[in-house]
Amino acid sequence: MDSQRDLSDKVLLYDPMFDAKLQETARKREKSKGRRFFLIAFIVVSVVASIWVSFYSLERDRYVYKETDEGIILHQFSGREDDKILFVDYLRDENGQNPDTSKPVTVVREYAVNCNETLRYIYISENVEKIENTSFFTVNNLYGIFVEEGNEHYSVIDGVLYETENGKPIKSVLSPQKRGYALVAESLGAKLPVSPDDVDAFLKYCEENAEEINNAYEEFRYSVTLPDTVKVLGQLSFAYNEKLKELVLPEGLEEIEEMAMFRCWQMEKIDFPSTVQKIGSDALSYCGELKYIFIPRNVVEIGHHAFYSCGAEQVNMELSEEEVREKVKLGDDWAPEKRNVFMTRVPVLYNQVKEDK
Amino acid sequence: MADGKVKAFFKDVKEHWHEPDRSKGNYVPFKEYLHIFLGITFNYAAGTPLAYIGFGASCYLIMYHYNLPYLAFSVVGLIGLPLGYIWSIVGWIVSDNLGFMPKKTARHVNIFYISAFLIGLLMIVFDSSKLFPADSAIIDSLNSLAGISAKSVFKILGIQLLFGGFGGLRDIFWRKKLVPKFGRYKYRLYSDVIQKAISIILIGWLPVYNIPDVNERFWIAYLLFSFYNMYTFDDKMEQCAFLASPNIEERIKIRTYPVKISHLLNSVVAMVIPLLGSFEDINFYRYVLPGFFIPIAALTLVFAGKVKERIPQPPLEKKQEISFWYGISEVMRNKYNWINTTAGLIDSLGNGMIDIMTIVYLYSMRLSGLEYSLLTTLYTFRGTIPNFIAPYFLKRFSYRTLKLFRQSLYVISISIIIAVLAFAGENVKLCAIVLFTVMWIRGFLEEVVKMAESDMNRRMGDYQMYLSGERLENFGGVFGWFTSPITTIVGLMIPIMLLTSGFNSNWDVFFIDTARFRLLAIPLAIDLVGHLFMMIPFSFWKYNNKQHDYVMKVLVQRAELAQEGYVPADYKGDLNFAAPESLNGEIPVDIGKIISEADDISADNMAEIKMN
Repeated sequence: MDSQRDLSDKVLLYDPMFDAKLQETARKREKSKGRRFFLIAFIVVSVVASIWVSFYSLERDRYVYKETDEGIILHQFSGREDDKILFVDYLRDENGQNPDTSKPVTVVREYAVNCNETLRYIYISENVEKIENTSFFTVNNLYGIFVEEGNEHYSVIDGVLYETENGKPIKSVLSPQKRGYALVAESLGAKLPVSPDDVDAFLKYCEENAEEINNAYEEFRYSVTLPDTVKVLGQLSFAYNEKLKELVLPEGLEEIEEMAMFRCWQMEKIDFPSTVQKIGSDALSYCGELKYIFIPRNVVEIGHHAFYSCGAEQVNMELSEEEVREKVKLGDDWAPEKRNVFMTRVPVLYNQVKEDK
Repeated sequence: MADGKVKAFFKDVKEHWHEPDRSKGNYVPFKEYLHIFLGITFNYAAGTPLAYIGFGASCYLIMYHYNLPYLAFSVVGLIGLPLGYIWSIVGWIVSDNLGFMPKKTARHVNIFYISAFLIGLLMIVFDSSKLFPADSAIIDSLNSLAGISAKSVFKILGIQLLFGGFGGLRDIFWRKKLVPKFGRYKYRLYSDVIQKAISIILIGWLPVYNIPDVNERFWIAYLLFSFYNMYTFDDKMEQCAFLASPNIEERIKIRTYPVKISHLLNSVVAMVIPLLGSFEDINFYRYVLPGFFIPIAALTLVFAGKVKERIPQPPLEKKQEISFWYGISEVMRNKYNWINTTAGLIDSLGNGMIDIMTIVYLYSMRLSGLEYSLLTTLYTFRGTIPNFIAPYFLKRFSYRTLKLFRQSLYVISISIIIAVLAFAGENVKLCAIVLFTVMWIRGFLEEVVKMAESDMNRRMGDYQMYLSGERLENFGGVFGWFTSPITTIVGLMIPIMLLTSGFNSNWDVFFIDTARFRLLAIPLAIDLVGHLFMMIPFSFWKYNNKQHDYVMKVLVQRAELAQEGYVPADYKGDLNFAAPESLNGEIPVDIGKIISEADDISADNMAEIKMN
């Protein structure tokens, strides 16, 4: 190593690393046991507290209710792997057991069930008065719904849950997304459950014959006919029905709500009755197999992106262009798009007559 | 006149192509400017395909293919919280000593990492939840966590141990081998590139997203992405370029010209990639992303070795040894760390927010293909022009002023966004256009502040080195120890609120107009409050150019003294240092007087100073 150059006659810039007093303080600080203890204690306590509070916040009881003036509201359902049926009947404990019959559930909050893959059936008791259209959002593997006899507000017809008035269905609420799977199982010999008591046996059959049912389900398509008294196709009511080929809408239907048939990607045919006045936003978006669209004259409002990503290459309207401009409220990008370099809308033809397709 | 300047510039370039102009205090020859430009060009561009892959709810791959519950990501963070402390302690000792530790310390560190690796492996291979009775309280409690099950909790813990242990061992090995040769920043490019490429290919080709059970799908996806995340290929070249010179003005020149121009290729790549496939198509992740990453990463390595880091410091064998408690106490001495920590704590109010631009692009405007490319490129480019005029603002305005300006910008822009969502939410297109415009303008105006932040981060490393003898960049993470528990709890606020408002694993909820408003506006309002309060800590920031200039001079002097054999650890008091009247943050208040009194000791040794 070279010998040090004598720099004692040079004045150097002040450097804290060569400041003896500062370095002595730094060494004391480094070695201070009190500081170390405080630091460790603080960190241990805060980490433990944080983990405890966080786990507490993230823990989800199976059933969460709220008591209000309206009655008992089912606020949230967080199912476990083995939860195949959701019971909307009475206040139950956090594990879904011990229903308290003195406390009936009357309302299901919106998004009460959100992105659930394990549920197969929902049971709705006679006490339930109000279910939002988004109460059961993305329940991907739902086979069916039971409604207890005596419920004045809801009923199930051909597997579809409807809101009723005077005993008649007036608005669709929910069509189970995997109803087709249950229908296939039935065609292969299973007995469709008519009450929660039958569910276990049905699911056991499905499990034992899974391969056969899956193979048949691949090619399966089905149609649904709405009852004549239905006036409103509810929001999200038929969304994600992946095997739905056709939905027969009754004369008398007045409104198709937002996302009513969202992502029904096998839907080939939809015939709007002449009584329809409103088609909500995203009502038929992502229905890629839908090739023919005819808008009857009484439609006065079409929401934005109503036919987004549909397969149709044109839209046929019964009204003239002038009438559409005067009478019809059209949302942004309501017509299907044409996938070119830049996205444009497909042509809209006016003064059209409905074709039998 | 202009002709004369241009001719002089080209003459200067020709003369100093291989050797820098030392008379002007420059350290970087012009040939290296070219290497910096090309190295960053390719390094930055390689990051673009990587931006489409990440284990987070906003990653398009996760969104469209994996369908993972939103809150489950918070649970992963929670599991990692206690482990994070342990990794930090060990990691800092390794990193801030650049991998060179006393033998006893090294042995303990190795035993720790190997144990973590083996335990993690066992937990992944076997189902640890079976160690507990099925009806036990702990199993029931873990099964009740949103989006996750007891089995997957133990698997996730195992994954964190496995990769933490293995990653730690790798880090020590590669640091020792590569830091002396490539410097402290860019060595990771060499050690990780092959594995990164393999992990990108695996992510596209392994059909993990098809696993039907969501709990199973979640932890296996986490395993795959943990493998991917262990290998980094981020902007190392840019970090390295920021330290290419100890001369502040030369640093700013490098950052303004070759660095910013080098981002152009990234913009082209960012524009082209979306044209080659749809995010909903898995082939986009199988072919397009690896197809871009692999060749661009290879080109990065061609130029990376030609860019040097020049951090004024003693040679490695004479460097300050950093013990754990020394590192901790020294970073806590730096009052600017406390300011940043306080601001960060307040900022955590906005944790868990959905990225507003993702919603605007995909759910409001419903963009894809060329339209998506053009608009995202336009958005990305918003910072380009301000970058070139940044030096003017950086000289004219203090860091404090710039930070307060930025916070004001956030408060105003968020207020506008909430108002638009509230009053024009039904008009989807108008809403989207206004949101995009507001975000663009905000990004444009805050770019100068971002440059100032980036510059200040480097300066803080220099300042820390001035205080403590090492940059202690990793020990700076100790503040995370105090804030993590708080930010973890605060960071759950928004995700839990989002869950009750309809957002879980299905992003289609953003197509519902009423839901979209709630899911955006309420978190934004919370974030707005955070940005308002963040102004308070930054108003105490006093570190300025004059102080930094002094700091750099002292670091150069320290390196020169080390060359002469004078190091703080062995100092016997035989040098003559100027005595300041008073100190502010250990920097003399009377800087001008000190500098004028000091002698230049470097004249004879300038050519021999080694910069690492």
